[in-house]
Amino acid sequence: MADFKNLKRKTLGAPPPPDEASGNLEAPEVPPPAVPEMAPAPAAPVRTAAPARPRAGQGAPKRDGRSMRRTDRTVQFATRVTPAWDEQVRQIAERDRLLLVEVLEKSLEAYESARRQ
Amino acid sequence: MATIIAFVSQKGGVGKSTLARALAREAAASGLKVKIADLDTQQGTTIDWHRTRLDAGIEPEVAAEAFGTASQALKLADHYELLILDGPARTSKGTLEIARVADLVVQPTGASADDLRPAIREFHALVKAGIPKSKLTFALNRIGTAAEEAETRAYIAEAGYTVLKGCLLERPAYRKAQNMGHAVTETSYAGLKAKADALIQALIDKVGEHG
Repeated sequence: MADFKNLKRKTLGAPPPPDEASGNLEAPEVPPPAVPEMAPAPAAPVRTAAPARPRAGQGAPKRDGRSMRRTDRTVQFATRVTPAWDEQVRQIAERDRLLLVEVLEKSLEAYESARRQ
Repeated sequence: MATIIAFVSQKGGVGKSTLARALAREAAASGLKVKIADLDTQQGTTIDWHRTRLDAGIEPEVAAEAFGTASQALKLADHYELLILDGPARTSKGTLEIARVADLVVQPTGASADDLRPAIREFHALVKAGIPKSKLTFALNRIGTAAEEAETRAYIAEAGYTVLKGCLLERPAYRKAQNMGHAVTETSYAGLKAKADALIQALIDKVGEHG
């Protein structure tokens, strides 16, 4: 049987020529210590959906798009106020470029601070 | 002064420690005073293997010690008949220092172009630095088929270097043997043991040629 070994296609190609010598022999024997990794930035709070809560007066949890997205980082806070109080809070928020909730938070801080004095 | 045989490579996993252990085991079995200097302090795989071997009570006992630099290890040369340098998975000024004093520098390689091209470049660098080609040789490891072995040999010859006769095949039995603290020449599979024996004998013969 004929021997076709010499006609077989080489898969490795040609080896690197001598002028392609590695430059690694210039490297220090003991590698320099690795650059210490920077402390990772504090992770952003992960928003994961909270377990579905039962609806008021019902046993089964409510299942819809909004409840699936709910993270329970915040909760609903509703109350009834006078129109004048509502107007005043909104004016303060607009003047100081705050959210309504930030006005409430600062008010609470001021109240607690005054109470401690 | 001991005969010094070094296993070097820029890459990890090519078989430096595998061959260093097998050579040391065979030398110890022949009554030579031999030591493996593990120069890879970051991984220390041969030191771990040595500990496993000691714990398992495997004879003959093979001495192994970790060293941070080649020069530290070479200080031992007067105390042994054979000093085996198991290099780290990188090449550096230390590799050149090893090559200058070693009787034989063995670079194990697999059969892929990804293994072979950088391996050839490393030997080119040693030759450029004045190391005689006669001191440098390749050893084939993790070979799959006879055709693959033949093509790898042809490639290395074309680059101008020698390759040891024989090779280690890609076989789990070799890994299993080493996991248990044995050398590849101590595997229980007769055919694989014979292949490993032949490769180590080729290595010893090569040292004889050069010396």
